[in-house]
Amino acid sequence: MSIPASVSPKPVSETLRPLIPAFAGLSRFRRASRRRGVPWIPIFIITVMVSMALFAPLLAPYSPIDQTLRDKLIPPFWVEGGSMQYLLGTDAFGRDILSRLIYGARVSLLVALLALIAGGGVGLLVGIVAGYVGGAVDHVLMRLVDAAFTFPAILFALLLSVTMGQGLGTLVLAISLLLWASFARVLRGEVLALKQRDFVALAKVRGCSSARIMLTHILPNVLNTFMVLVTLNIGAVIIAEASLSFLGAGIPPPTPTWGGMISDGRGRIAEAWWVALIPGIAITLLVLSVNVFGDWLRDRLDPRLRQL
Amino acid sequence: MSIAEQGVAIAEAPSDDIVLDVRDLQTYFFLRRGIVKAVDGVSFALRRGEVLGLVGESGCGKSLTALSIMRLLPKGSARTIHGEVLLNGEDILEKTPNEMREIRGRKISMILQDPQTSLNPVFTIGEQLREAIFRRTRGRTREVMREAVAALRRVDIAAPEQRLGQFPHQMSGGMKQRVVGAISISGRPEVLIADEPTTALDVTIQLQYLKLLKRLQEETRMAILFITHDFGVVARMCDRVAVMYAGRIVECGPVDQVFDNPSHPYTQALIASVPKMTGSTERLYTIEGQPPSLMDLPVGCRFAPRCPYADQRCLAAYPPSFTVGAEHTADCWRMTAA
Amino acid sequence: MTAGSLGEFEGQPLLRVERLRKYYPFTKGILFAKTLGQVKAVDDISFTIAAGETLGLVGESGCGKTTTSKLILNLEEPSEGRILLRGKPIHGLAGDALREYRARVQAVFQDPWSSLNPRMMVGRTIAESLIVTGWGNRTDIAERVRELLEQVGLRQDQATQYPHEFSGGQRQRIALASALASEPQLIVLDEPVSALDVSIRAQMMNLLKDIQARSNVAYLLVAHDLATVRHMADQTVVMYLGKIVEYAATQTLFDNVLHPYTKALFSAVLRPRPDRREEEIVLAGEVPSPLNPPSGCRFHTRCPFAMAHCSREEPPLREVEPGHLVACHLYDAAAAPAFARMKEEIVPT
Repeated sequence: MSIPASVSPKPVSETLRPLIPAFAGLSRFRRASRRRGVPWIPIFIITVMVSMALFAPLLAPYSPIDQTLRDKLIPPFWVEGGSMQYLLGTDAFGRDILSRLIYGARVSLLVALLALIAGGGVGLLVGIVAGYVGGAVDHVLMRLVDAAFTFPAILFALLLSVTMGQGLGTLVLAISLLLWASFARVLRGEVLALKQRDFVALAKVRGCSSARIMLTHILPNVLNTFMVLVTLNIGAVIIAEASLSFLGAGIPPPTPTWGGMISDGRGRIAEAWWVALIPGIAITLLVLSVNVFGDWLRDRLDPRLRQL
Repeated sequence: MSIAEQGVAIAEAPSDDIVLDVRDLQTYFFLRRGIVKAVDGVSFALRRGEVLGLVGESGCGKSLTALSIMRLLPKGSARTIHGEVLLNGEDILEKTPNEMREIRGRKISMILQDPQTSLNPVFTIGEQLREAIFRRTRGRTREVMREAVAALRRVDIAAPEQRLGQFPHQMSGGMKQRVVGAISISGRPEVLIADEPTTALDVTIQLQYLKLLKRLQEETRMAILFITHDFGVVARMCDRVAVMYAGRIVECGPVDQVFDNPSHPYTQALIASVPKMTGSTERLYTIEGQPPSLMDLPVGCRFAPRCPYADQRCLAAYPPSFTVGAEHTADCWRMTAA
Repeated sequence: MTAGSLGEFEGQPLLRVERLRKYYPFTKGILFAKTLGQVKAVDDISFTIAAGETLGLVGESGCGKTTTSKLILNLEEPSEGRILLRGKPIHGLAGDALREYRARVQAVFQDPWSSLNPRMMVGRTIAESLIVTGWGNRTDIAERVRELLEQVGLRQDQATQYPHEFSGGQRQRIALASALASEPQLIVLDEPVSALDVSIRAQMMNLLKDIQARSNVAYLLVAHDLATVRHMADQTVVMYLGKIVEYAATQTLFDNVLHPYTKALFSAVLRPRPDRREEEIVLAGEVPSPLNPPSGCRFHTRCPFAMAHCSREEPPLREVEPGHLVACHLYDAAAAPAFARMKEEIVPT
């Protein structure tokens, strides 16, 4: 129901804001004291992993796919029987785990990037259109989002890999399908709140078309949220990629992926734990770092701070 | 009614009886960027049964003065670093948090601007009112219930028995603000701080509310510190008025005197810039410029940079309070001659 | 740009609102919504605004003044009735015609904290209507933005700053500058000063008057504060629950208030120097819900002078004195005794 109210009481934050200039500083100060400092360690880990992906051929001591069966299942150097030749040991085919890890970062991060661009982009578009246009369009789009949430995504991805064949494209498509709905739902909410702000109505009065309003008034104001969503989802995407590779729906061997490496090592977890554990640790470190970084970024870009 | 009896009892006290005496109150914000002197040496006294208006524009420190008195400063960087707040002669700034909880609601109470945020949306107004009453009386359910009905009736709410079961969203803004009023005075406070209680209300509802508040105040003889930006509200409600600018009270006196003979240039300018219902509709008087930054206050008079009369003296030192009439003071060097 | 079309409509008012109604359905359910009733936000109102003139629209929450301004801004479609700008209906416009209308009718809203896009430089905000209408090239637009900033009392170099760097009063000036950019003939001012501090309010009101004197723009001033309306408006319309109850030249209306609701509004004005002898009308109760407005005269439930037939018959808006329109049964010829009584009782002499 919409009963138009001509004199709307202002929310308390609006009324307090002009109270004193200090209020601005106050909340900033309060948040700052609660907030952790810049998360240097996660940033370092992320940088290392990204460099690994970018400069894999320069960094990797061996080829990630060449098999040296003579040297199979050598443990990492700090374990008895290990050697400095293979720092992190070798797998059942005698492939250097460090090299596979470095090349694996490439695949993991590339998949994450592409999936976030595709899925996040679709989510952004759907969220803005649904939120701004509203009505039947919103209704239909949001039912699609609901449907996407109820979908057994892993099964769908497996199905895709069977029908389309394994590969980067399939993996990215499968993960994007997982992603877009959550992006769309969060961003739609943001757009709905934004739509109530006077500047959106005024843009219409100034003669802007709906497309223009979405592009110049809505989009820039949801970009912060979008960036936070992206960082918070990198972890989920990497895990999804690993899971799908583990299940055999990812990039086909012998291309190294972290998920695939865990999958390779799972049969010999008792005697050659490093084959599965080392990529597992890499995934955990990266996801953890990205999440901590994402939390920090969200605090930094808090809308309450943004306006001050 | 018991409240009326209480009123009679208090009425016998001498009229000069001071309930709340605020002396040189200083509340600062300590930020990394510097110190914001939001309330910087505010002094005033409130007598029993008196309504004192505290007027000023956004950021002058009037709301923060109220929060300092209630000791409800926003957590974090704000601190009251100096001054006394004497309630019946006892400094409440010295009280422990537990003692303060006892004082709040019972001795001093507060009404805020926005009834929307003052009431909890998930409880009925009956529950909220009964909680306030129970905390004070620890009475039996039936008594508490009876008192809740009486409290609503006192603020002119029709059919109070039915209203008790309603949620805040089922009531209009004016009605909600009356419920807030009922809760605030349910503890029979001696001092009520009303921080812009009618700003969010429609004009005819505002008039109703002010009349109600005035009537309650006369019945209970409570003292009210009425914070507002509107001189019309002051004229309607208050006996005396204090005008605040950049963290200090610049002029204080009986309402009629301040209106008829505003002595501080800031008060003069404020009164002149309000659109009137009579007289010329030509250009309105305006004050040029902006209030000073509270982080970087001028050495002298804080209004001097915007003041048409400012001279060397004003820039050199902050003026003391000069008496310009009975109980009427103004912080302005021009008053030396007077 | 509009000189040609202006000539055609010589003698026409700039804006004519004819029997305008806006009902919002009150529904239950989402997919197969059931209409339970209608909120009659605006119910059969008519008025005109002349070029270069200010019309004040006064009333409390729910009286329909904001809905009226949204209808005039073409942000809502009327349920019935029409609005004409220089004789041409404004609803149902599309394409270039709509863009031209947008350029001619602009707005400034109440809340300076919400009316500027926080992510857009103020120069770009001011230029927006020029950009979308393809008004000129980059340098022309930049020049015009500088000119506008100066007009509203801001510095030219402030064009590259973002809204958070400005105070409430300055933001309201920026909002005004962007409304002025397309040289509109009418600006809807929806409570333009009520969110501002007293001293800033006076500055803004003076600025609005100066700009009107210079550019001959007409204002529709939506306000709840009578003193503001008195200072700004040439004509005043008082609304109650979607209806016009009184309509006259501001001077006429303020000299001789006729409708009991308007009288109550006048009583509610808190004057810094109150004339305490003045009779006061304090309304009982609150504004009834527009979902289910009272029968007959909508004000009869709160009117201190209500008569038996007020609850049955709706009083039409008619001219009671020259140029002074009132919708009240007190001024029926048949109700003359009551009218006389009221004059005696409350009209200040």
